[in-house]
Amino acid sequence: MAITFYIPGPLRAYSGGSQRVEIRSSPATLRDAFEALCKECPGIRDRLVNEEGQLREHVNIFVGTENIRFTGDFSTPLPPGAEISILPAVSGGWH
Amino acid sequence: MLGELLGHYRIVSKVGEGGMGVVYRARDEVLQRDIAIKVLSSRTVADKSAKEFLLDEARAASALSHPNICTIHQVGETAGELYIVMELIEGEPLSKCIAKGGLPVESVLRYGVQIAGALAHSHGRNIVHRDLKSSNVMVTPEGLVKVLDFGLARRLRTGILGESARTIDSLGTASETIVESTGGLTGTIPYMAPEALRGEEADHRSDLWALGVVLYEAASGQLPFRGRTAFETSSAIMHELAPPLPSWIPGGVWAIVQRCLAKEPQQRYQRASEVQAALEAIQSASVVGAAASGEQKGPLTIVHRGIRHLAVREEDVLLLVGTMKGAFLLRSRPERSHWETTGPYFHGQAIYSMAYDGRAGRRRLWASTSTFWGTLLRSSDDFGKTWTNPQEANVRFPADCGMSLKNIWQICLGPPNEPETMYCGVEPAALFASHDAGETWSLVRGLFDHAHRPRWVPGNGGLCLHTILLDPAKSERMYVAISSGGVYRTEDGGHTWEARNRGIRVSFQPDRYPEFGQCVHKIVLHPARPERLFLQHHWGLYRSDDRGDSWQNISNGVPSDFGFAMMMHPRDPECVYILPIESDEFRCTPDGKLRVYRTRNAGGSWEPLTRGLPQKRAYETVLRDAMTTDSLDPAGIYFGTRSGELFGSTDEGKNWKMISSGLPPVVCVRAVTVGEPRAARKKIGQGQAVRTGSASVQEKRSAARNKAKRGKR
Repeated sequence: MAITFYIPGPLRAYSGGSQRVEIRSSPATLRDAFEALCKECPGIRDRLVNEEGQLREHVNIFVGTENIRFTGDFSTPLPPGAEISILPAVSGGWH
Repeated sequence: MLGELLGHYRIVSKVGEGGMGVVYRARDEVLQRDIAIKVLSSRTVADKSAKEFLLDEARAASALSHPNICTIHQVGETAGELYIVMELIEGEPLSKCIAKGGLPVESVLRYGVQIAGALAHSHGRNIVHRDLKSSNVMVTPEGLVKVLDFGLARRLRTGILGESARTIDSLGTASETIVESTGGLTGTIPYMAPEALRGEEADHRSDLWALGVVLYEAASGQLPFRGRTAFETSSAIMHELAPPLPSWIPGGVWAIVQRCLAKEPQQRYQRASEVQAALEAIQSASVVGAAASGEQKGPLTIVHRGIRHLAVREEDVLLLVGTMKGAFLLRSRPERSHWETTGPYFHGQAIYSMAYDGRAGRRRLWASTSTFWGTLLRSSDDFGKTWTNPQEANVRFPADCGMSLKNIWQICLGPPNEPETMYCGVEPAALFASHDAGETWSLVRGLFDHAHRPRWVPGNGGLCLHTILLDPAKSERMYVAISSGGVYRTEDGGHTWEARNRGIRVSFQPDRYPEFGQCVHKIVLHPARPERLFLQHHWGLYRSDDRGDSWQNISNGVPSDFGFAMMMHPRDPECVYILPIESDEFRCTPDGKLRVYRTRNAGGSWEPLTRGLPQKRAYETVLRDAMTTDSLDPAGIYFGTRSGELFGSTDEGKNWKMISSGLPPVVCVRAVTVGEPRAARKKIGQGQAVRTGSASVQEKRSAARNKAKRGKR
């Protein structure tokens, strides 16, 4: 069953303007889904993770309503039909 | 003339007619082959010496043998008429092939490579074309290019063009005469280089200019410099910038065209073979790109809409202002009395560093942009309309480093003789280098692997490498400054580095004079005296007269020797500007007075410069890269504050005025003079900072103060 990424406004330039990107390969973990997303939307990877592959400090990813920082980061397992939201964190923009 | 014999050539038909004469198709009755004969009009060859000269030129050109050059078989004279026998080319002039919107990029590259090859061949034999234009380039049905009329224009220039050249000298008064007197030559003026229009000796680099015009025309279907009259066209050639090529033309092609169209010959490519190689490089990249075209691509450039972009002209002074919430560009004529402001570019992003690369004919803005989606280096070749949008972060630590880029604090151009070299200093403290004009970047391992690095500690702004200085006397010598690591120097182009902090006192360690670990805020040097450096420390002002080997305190009479910004006068190696801050706890100007301090004796004494700057309740901070100077005479000095005010002086600091207020916190300011500044700058605005009374400065300030308080950087 396909899973869906919800893309925030600033990153839609990389998803052809789409708010939703569906991954039909039924990925088992967020990492698999993320790799598929990066293939689908070139340029999005470096906006979300740093050189060490860690999620950027002020970016959050939610699987359903759970922040992946508390569920195993990219190892977070995905239920069938998962909805994954990418959101800038509230801590962003402190300057 | 048809059917007649000219020597042993029988004229068959008329092929064309141009400014030089009539071209016929003819039959060589001896060798039994078809050839072309150009019979030069008597008007072309005005007198005997002109005729001799033209014969010499044609003889020299006949020695050229290249697949992209129309071969000259013979030059001769019959019944007082000069004729040139040459290869007959079946095809069309390039000018006719160019459709309204330009040719496909592949064709532009294919033809461009061949024309450049032809020029390289002839220049190698000291033959300058002097009249390269799209109507002088033939394209065969097979796509082979043949350049016509090598060297033949020279005598014509002094013969026919002499009149127009004289008229052009007096452009200001006789624009109407030009149109009449130039007659058929108006078609050539659009290809003439600025130096040729000025009547200076044109050399092979004038051909490279013309090549740039032909490439531009082929790519876009338009000439880069246009006008209703010869006067307007000439004026555009000498003073205007070519409008950017359409967005579908690869940036690399635009960069090559721009470099060919540099106003000063020394700023252009110096050899046609370089243009050829550059075009070939894009050609091979496009082939690779075409093979992988199935792959989806994200946006490679971003266009800033809703901003009224600057229309930049030659000699304009630009201020590049990076703030915590975007970049702003300001433009002024050399008088620097009125500034046009545009922005914010990169709305909401922190711009820690900006730079301008005018080397090798480029007109490229650089900005480091930082947001929670990452930090990127971006460039614009059209003064901000479009910027690169790298898919992958272009400055990145290699995987084995175990660290990630936070910010880019400094963008620094390499030496003038290495126009493809650039450096940037980043946080966490490291140095990156590029040797392809910023396309790709690599970590300078020599510094990264230094034994001291694990013991460098972050200052309040983070652990950053914020300053890079090159020694103009020795290209392998460089300095970097790190907060908090200190000054490091290399003598071997970055392979090995040594700490150079002897004599710099620290207040935040038990050892007051450690080998390294100083919190250096800024270092500067003057190119005319590169062995001497000045340094603004976390506390303390210093000078070194021995390339950083030892430092002496020069805090003689400043209200505080704490501060960030420090700047060298563009011409006077004894003159340095600073902006003192009260202390590390109270990072504001002392006594609520905004004062720039200047030394004109290398730190022997300092004088405050305050006229036009607010001296009451001005608790400002000026960050380390937020003060700069232009290259004009008298020098313009500019600085921006954390409260978003931008001040400038056009008389080296004597008088100041507010240029802008209400900006986001200013992080960096850079001044740019577009093109080559005129030598006689002294006449303009000498000593005349445009006065803004202090009352009105105060008014502007109070308006600006109504803004919400901003957080700390």
